[in-house]
Amino acid sequence: MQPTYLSVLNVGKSIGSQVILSCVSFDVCGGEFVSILGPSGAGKSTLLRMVAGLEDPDDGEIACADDTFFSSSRRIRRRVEERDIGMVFQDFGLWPHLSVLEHVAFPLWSRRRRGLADWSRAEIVARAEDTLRLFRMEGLGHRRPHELSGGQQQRTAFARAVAARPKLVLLDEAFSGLDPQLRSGVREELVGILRESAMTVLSVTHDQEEAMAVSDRILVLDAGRALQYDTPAELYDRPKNIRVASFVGRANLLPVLDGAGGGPVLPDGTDLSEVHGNHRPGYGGDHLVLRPEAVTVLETADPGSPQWEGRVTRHQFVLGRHELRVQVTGLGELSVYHDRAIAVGEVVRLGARLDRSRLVFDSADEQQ
Amino acid sequence: MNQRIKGIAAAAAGLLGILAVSAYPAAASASGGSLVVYSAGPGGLANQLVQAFEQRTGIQVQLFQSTTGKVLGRLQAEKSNPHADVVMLADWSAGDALQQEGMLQPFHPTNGQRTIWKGPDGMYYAYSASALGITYNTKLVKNPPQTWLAALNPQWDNKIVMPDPAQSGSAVDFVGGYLQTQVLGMNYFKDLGENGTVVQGANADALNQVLTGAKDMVLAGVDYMAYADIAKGEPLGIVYPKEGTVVNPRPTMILKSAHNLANARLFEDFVLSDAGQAIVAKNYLLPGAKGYPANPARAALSSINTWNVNWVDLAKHKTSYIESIDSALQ
Amino acid sequence: MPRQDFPSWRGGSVAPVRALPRPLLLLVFLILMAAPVLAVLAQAAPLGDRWVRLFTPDTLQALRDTLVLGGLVSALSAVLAILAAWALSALDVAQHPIARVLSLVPFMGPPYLMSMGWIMFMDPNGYLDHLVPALSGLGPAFFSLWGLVLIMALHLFPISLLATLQVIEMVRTRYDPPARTHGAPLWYRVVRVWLPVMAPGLLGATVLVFVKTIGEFGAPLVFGSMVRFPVLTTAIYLKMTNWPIDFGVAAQLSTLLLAVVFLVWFGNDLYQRRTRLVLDSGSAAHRLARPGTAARWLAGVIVGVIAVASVVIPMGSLLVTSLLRIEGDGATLANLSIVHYLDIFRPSGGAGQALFSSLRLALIAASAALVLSLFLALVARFLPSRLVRWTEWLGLLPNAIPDVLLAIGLILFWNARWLPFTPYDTNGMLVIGFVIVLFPFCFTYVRAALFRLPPTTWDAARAHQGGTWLIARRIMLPLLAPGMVAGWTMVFAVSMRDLVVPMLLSPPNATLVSTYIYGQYTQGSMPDAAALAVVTLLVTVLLLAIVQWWSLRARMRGAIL
Repeated sequence: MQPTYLSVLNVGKSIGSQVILSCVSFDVCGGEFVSILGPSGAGKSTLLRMVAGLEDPDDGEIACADDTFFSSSRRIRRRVEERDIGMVFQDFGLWPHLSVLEHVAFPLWSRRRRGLADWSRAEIVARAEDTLRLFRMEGLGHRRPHELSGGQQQRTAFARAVAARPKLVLLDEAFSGLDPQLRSGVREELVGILRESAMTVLSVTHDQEEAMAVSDRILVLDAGRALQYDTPAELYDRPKNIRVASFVGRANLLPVLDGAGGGPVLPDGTDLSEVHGNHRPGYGGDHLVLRPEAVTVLETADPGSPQWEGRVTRHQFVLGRHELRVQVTGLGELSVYHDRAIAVGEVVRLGARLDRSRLVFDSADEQQ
Repeated sequence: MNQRIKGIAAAAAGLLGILAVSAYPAAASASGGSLVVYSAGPGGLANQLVQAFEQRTGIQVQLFQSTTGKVLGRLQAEKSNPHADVVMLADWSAGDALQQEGMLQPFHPTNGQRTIWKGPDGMYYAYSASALGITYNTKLVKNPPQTWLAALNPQWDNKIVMPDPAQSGSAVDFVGGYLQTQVLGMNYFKDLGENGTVVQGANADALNQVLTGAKDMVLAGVDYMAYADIAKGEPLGIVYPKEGTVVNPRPTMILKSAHNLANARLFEDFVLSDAGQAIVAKNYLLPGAKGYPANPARAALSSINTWNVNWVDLAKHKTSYIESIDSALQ
Repeated sequence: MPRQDFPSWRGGSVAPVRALPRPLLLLVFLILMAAPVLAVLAQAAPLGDRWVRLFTPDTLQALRDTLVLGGLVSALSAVLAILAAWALSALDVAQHPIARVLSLVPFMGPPYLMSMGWIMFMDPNGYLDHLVPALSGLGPAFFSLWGLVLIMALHLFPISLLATLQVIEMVRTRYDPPARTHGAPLWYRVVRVWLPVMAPGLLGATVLVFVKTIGEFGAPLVFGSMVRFPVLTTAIYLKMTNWPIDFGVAAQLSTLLLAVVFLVWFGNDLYQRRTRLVLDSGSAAHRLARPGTAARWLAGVIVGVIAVASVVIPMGSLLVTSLLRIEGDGATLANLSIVHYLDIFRPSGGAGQALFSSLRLALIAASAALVLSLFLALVARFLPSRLVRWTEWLGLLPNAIPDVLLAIGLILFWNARWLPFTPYDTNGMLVIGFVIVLFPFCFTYVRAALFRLPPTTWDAARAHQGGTWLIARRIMLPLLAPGMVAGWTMVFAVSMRDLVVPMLLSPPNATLVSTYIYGQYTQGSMPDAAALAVVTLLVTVLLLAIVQWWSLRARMRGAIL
């Protein structure tokens, strides 16, 4: 791992009695793409705006590349315009009276005004045009925002964010405004550009699919608290608690009981002692995270794995696979993927791969 | 950064300062040999008097030029901190009113003995006067009524306009003068109302109605305005009815609170001098000095049958006159 | 860096704003706005026993007439505004800056002269008789309350129009199409979509029209005395200018007016709070296909009729009058001449100086009002607090108070003996008067322009290293320019023609356009008065067109590179 580039330490904020963020910490390495993921109201935009300097924490430290952005203990607060960042806003934040080229030149021009660079006017134009080319916007430099499509507005916002090669690029729901059909393609391209330019990126999103697809690491935030900070695969396979498990990907959450020998069992008695994760006997709040893809519909008998019988209650065709809800006596409804349609009401047998499942604690106790 | 903010603040303050300073040129000349005159129209007359006075004496005059009502209003508003030295009004009873309020001080101009009308104890003097008549459009009217009574003739039904007593001091004077001297009294105005006579605005509004031909004649309009219009070529004629009419002297006075008393007395001397009276005559008003000739283009005071008006009594009843005319001339 | 320098969490702050302490701002507004009002109330208060006499049948009659006039004029203005706004929008010129300037023209004419224009047009032997003798029968119908309502509504409807233009454009492009696609017929769309969406804005403007109507005394005096319709303002005016002059009674009558005004504002406030209609902050509305030919014809006719009635007839009457060599000889070709223009613009004529003084004072007043508005709006946006809300309320107070009353209050307050320094008896008093009377207009425009901007406007600039000065000049100024120009324009245009403030506050030796015209009108010649009115209106419109054009150009360039 590379050394820490951006560090956020014990950042907290409350308004009145309402806690917006509580003691959030995480590090980002140079060139990394990190997403902050969470449901709306989790405080993720506030966190991003604190890194940007648009809002201030009550306490905590934020530092980026040897430069302290904010420190409550040392009473340091770097102003927004001195933090050397680039940012893409959810509504893009384009100015109706400026052209595309002027938008992209704005950060360059600002740096010249601040005496941080001695680019000539021609250099600024050249750099801005280079950036536009990078984003395949050449020839549109003279247009104003209202003459652009949504996608072009987004490219303009991205070009502005990276034009001055800032220390850090912040994305605030930068892809949410887009057509879902275009989203993944465009996202791939824009993120590709950011990666090729070796930008360190901190992105805020509520879209888990997006976060999983583009991030090196993901910080899951809920109700102002950091639940887990890990790579996408780790998050999916080893969620630390029930909130993360339910927010990242789809999961069947099955209550876990104490078996006769103290080991974990499902309500129907299925033994879970082989499953990863800690079980706390007598606690009663543990759950089994059983991803739908770890459950298979058995067309033939397979004695090797636990088997349940259940009745199909719902069937949905989702691009390339069939999603079933199966009512299993003693366990409740399970989500299952299958490669062919099964009529509602039919009885099927299910097999589960418990080695790909995980025991987690109830979210109420996640901090223990 | 703070440097820059201060710069902006300083620039803004500077700009406001420039704006403020450029807004105050009037204040610059307020001190020294100066005089403040509040005058009720006509505008030309006051301006000419002031200009001639300035040329003669070198004294800087600040002139506030308006109508009697607004001059009185301003005096009232400034009562706690008066600014004016000399006040010239268009209504004789207004002089009495200011005296009653104790706002005046006596003075004795060089030509004081020569004035036709003076207030008690040298408190105010008439520097000019206007007479009321029937002003008619010569294109529409060939045989104007020669008496107030003749105006009741049915041929003038709906053709007569009178200035609104609520807005025109001279119209109140006429009503008062008529009621004091004529036996017909209020019935005259009731008859006028029945014949479709209307009141409208001040003198100028009423006169304008006659100029445009909307009405045939103004009843009880001030004469000097009509003479000025006739001089310009407007088709107007004036009749001073045989029963007599109101001649309203225009008082000039010095406020008790005058800051520039010596200059104020000089100004009053000038207004009542031959030179001052010449300017009065030029503006078609009757001169206030005995023996000074009126403008040849107008009727002399001697040729106008003048009612002997009790101004103090008239001033007392102004409000009731206004109300009764209001109901008579619907 | 000290901790107290942190911006508020609401996001962003504009540094220069912090240079102005909020209590100081409140103090400025207390002195400017509250002091004169309190001075008037102090005059009204001590006359205890006279309060009873205030409620005479005459006063109650005047109060009732005031309400009737205010109600009718507001209603007609609202109708005119909706019609005009729809028509301008249908003709696709609603957003054109020149159209906005022109739609203000009816409001730029002095109301008493507009009344005179109408009177000369409708009188027996008037211009209508000459043009269309067949219509001479309209006279008696016109010289009634309805004529007064028509004249005042045609003068005041631009206030409602400006408030309606923006919304109607949005209704047409955004809210009407869904109603159409669901098959709603015109009347149903008007009732269920158009009116409800426009109501809050229109009602706010209509309340303003109501206040201006019941506070106006020019037209009621000139026209109202002809049709016997005494209202409170004329009673106040007469109390202030007829002996025995009694400010106490005038002030008491004014408190009746104030009470009415506050009731109306309160009702409006209650309504606005209850509806809480939040319109989309119009990002790039879809352009619609132009309306059909029939609709465009109808729109053209509406614009034409309103323009003729509000501008061409009254101003045309004045124009013709100003061109008559001998007024009594009537409008014949042989009698036309520009002699009155030459007369008043002779060096000794005084009109040139009056025009120059008015231009200068109007420029200063408009600029001062703009600076003040900008400061208050920025503070309200970035440093909101209870103190600031009070300050804003004070800033809007003049809209609730008749101009006459404010002017009297200004004399009473600024001429007080105990003041160490006073602009009284200088032109500064006129500037203060104009600024106070017109500040609410200016502030409303600037505030709306600022509050319309999404926070990302400055967040994005700051995130990309824009310094305070750069953001102010390159981002905020161009985006606020339309609102600022509109506010400035309003103050300038109305200062050019306002009579109440100069009539009561002019220092000696100062003649402004309006006092010159009024003087000519009351003591001199009607054609001279009309001539200067025409010239002033032309100069004002020309200047405003230049300002609009220049600001449009500047915005188009608005460039960094």
